[in-house]
Amino acid sequence: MSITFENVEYIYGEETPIAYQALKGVNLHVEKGSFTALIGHTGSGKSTLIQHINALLIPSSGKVTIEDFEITRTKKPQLLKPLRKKAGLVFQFPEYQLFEETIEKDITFGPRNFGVSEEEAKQKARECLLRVGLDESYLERSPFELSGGQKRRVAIAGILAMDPDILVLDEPTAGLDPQGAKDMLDLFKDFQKSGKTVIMVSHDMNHVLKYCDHVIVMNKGQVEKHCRVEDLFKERDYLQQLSIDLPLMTDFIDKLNKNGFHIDHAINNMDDLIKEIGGELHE
Amino acid sequence: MLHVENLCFEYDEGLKTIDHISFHVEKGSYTTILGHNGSGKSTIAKLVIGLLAASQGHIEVGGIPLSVETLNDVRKQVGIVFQNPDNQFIGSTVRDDIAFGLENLCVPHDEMEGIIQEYAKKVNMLDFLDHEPTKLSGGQKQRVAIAGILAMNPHLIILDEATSMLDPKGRKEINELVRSLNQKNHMTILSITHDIEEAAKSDHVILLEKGHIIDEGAPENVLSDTKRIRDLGLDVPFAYQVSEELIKRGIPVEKTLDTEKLVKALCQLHSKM
Amino acid sequence: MNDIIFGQYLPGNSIMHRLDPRLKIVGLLVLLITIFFDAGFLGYGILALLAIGIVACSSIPLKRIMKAMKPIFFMILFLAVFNLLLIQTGHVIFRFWIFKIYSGAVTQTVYIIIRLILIITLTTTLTATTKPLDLTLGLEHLMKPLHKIGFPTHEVAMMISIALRFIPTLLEETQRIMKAQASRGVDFQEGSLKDKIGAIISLIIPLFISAFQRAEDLANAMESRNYIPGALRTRYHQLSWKGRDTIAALILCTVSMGIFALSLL
Repeated sequence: MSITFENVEYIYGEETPIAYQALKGVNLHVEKGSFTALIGHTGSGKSTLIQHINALLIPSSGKVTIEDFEITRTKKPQLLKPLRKKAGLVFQFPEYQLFEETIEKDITFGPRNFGVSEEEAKQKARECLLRVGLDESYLERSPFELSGGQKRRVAIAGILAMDPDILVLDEPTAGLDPQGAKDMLDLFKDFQKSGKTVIMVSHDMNHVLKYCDHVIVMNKGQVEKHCRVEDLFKERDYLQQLSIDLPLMTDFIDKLNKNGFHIDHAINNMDDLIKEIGGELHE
Repeated sequence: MLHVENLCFEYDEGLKTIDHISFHVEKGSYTTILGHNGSGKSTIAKLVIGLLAASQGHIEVGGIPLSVETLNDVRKQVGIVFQNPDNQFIGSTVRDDIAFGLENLCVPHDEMEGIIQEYAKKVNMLDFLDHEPTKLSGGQKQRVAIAGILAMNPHLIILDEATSMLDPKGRKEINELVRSLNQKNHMTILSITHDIEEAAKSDHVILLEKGHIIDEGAPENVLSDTKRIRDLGLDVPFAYQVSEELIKRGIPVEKTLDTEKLVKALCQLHSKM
Repeated sequence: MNDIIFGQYLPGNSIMHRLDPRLKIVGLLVLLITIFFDAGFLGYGILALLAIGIVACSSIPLKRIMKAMKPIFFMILFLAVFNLLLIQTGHVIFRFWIFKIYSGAVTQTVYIIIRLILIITLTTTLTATTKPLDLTLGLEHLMKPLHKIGFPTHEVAMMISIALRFIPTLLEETQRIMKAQASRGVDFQEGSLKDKIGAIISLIIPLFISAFQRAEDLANAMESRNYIPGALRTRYHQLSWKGRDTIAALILCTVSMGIFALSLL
C-alpha cells in the first residue's frame, strides 16, 4: 500500500487561544514496499504525521490517500475504521497497552475488534508470537509476568496479528538493549521483505543506515527532505545544522575518503566496508 | 568509596538474581557496570542504596557499613538517578524538585534559594526553574534529577540506566554532564548501562552476566574479547569491530577503541603504498 | 498547564491573588455559612456588595464567573419554578390557571437564587486566584491542630501535591493509551454497552498498572533522597501573613457578625 499526503495541514486546538499548527503543507508519497525512516527533532511534527496514516488524526486541510482510502476533514470517522487494520500503528513503549489476562487474549484483541473469528484470531496469535521470537508456551501466561522486552514483543505481535499492509513504528527500539533492538529491527525487515510497507520514526542513524532505504526529514512541521538514505547522508552540513549525527560507519568512511581513500559512501554493512578497505590497501 | 562483598539477592526463592558479587569502586573514578537487560545490574543499584535488602554479603559506602540503622546516613552519601525521567520528578516545578532533597535534609529555608540557583546553573537549567515537568524533555528532566542530587552533596552518584529512555541528544547531554562532574569535580561515578560506547570511555568496567561478575578492569582489556561481548547481547564498539575484522584479513592495525586512531593508522598504511 | 487543567486558576497579581491562602479558605467557609443566615434583603444586599468587591479585586473577568454558572443554570431554573409553585407561605399575589403563587414563595425563591449565585461567585473567585499548591499549603497549615492528635497532615499534604503534579502526566498517558487501543480497533464512542465496557477496560487496566509502577518508582526516588514520612522537614515554600490579610480578615468578621446580628432581628 502506498501512502500519499497532499497539502496536509494540521492544527491542534483549532479555534482555541492555544491553537498550534503542527503540520504545514505536507506533500509526500511513500512507495509500497519501502522501509522509510522518519527523522527530525521532537516537535518537528513526526508523531502528528504518523497519526494521520491510520486516521487517528484527520487533516485540518488537505488529503491523505492510502490505497482506496481518502482521508479529508469532511470524511465520517466510521468509514475510516477499517483503515486501522490496514495501517498498524505501534506507539512508543507499546508494552504499556497490554491489559488482557492472557497473552493469547491480548494478541487476539486487535483482530477480534475487526471482526476476525475467534478461531482464526487464535491461529494468527500463535503465528505472530513465533514471529516475534516467543514460543507457544507463552500463550496462556499473563503478559504481566514478562520482562519489558518480552512485553514489547507481545505488543508488536498484537499489531502483526491484525495483518496490516503498512506498519508504522514510533521509536520501536527505545529502551531496549542492543540485542533486543537488533531482534526487533530484523523482525521489521522481514515484514518489509514480505512485500509490506514500513515507516519508522527513529533517532538512531546507525539503524536508519542499516535497515532503511528511504528517509523523510521533518523540521518545524514541514517535510524538508525525502530521499534515499545514502543521499541524505551525503549532506553533512545540512545534518549538522539539524544536530543530527552521521552513522558511525558513514562518518568513518568520510574520514578515510578525506585522506585519499575511495570508499563507496553508501556502504551500510561491515562486510562490504572491510572488503573495500582491504581492496584499497592491497592494490 | 564503595565496597561490595559477597553480595547475594533473590527476587524469587531459589533464583539468584545476584550471585556472590564482590567489587570495589575507587574514589574519583568512573566505573561502569555493563550487562544486558536481565543480568541483574539494576538490582545492584537498589541494593547499594538500601532499597532492597541483600540476602547475604555486605556493602560499605564511604566507610559506613550499610544496615537498617545506617540507611539514612548512607543515602546522604549516595545520589541515584533512575531510568524513568518522569517517575523521579517529585516537585511541581524544577525548583520544587531540587528543593525536595533540601527539605528532607532540613536545610534552613534561607539557604535554599541560593543552593537551588547554584545547581540549576550547573546543569544548565537556570532558565527553566519555574517550568513544569510536562514541559520538559527527557534529557532536561534527568538534568534536574542530577541537580537535585548534587544539591545534597553526595560523594558517589549512581546512574541506573539513566540514559536508556532518552533520545541521542538527551543521552549526549547527560553523558557530557556526568563526565564533566567526574573530571572537573572529581565526583565518583558508578554507571549501570548497556551502552558500550559509554563503557569504552570509562575508567573501569565490570562485566555482569546472570548475576555474576565475569570480568572487570580497564575498558581496553574487558571489551577486547568481542565474541564474548556479542554473546552477552551487547554491541561491540565500532572501532573494535573494524580493527578486528581488518586484522583477520592480515591488515596490520592495532585493535583499538579509538576511531580517530584507527583512521590515522589506515591513512598511514594507505600513503605508504 | 497543571493549573489550567484544573480549569480554575487564572494567573494574575491582584489583591485577591496575593492574599494568604489560609485567609481565603477560612474566609470562604465563613461566608458560605453566613450566606445561609436570613438577614433579609438588606443582608443579601450587603453580601452582594461584598461579593462584587471581591470579584473587582481579583482581576477575574465577569465572563469567567458567568461561565461557572452555566452548568447549574438549569438547576437554578428548575429549583426556582419548583419553589415558586410549591411554597405556600404569605399571601397569594398571582393566579395562573391552576397555579397560585404566594409572596412567601417569591421571597424564598429569590433568596435561593441569590445564595447560589453568591456561592458560585465566591468559590470560583477563590479557586481562580489561588494556585492548587498554595491551597494545599494553606490546608496543611490549617490542619496543624489535627497533627497534634496524630493525623498525618504533612503526609496528606505531600500526597495531594504529588497527585497534583501527576494529573497532567496521567492525562497525557490516558490519551496515549486511548490512541494505542484505538489503533487496535477499539471504538471509544460508538458501540453497544458491552463494547463500551470492553473499551473502558482496555483503558483502565493499563492506566492502573502504569500508575502502580509509577508509585513504586516514585517511592524509591523519594526514599533515596532521604524522605522519611513523619520526620521533621524544613520547607521551601512558606506562608507569611501580611497587613492586607489582617484588613481582609477584619472586613470579613465585620460583615459576617453584622449579618448574624441582622438575622436575629
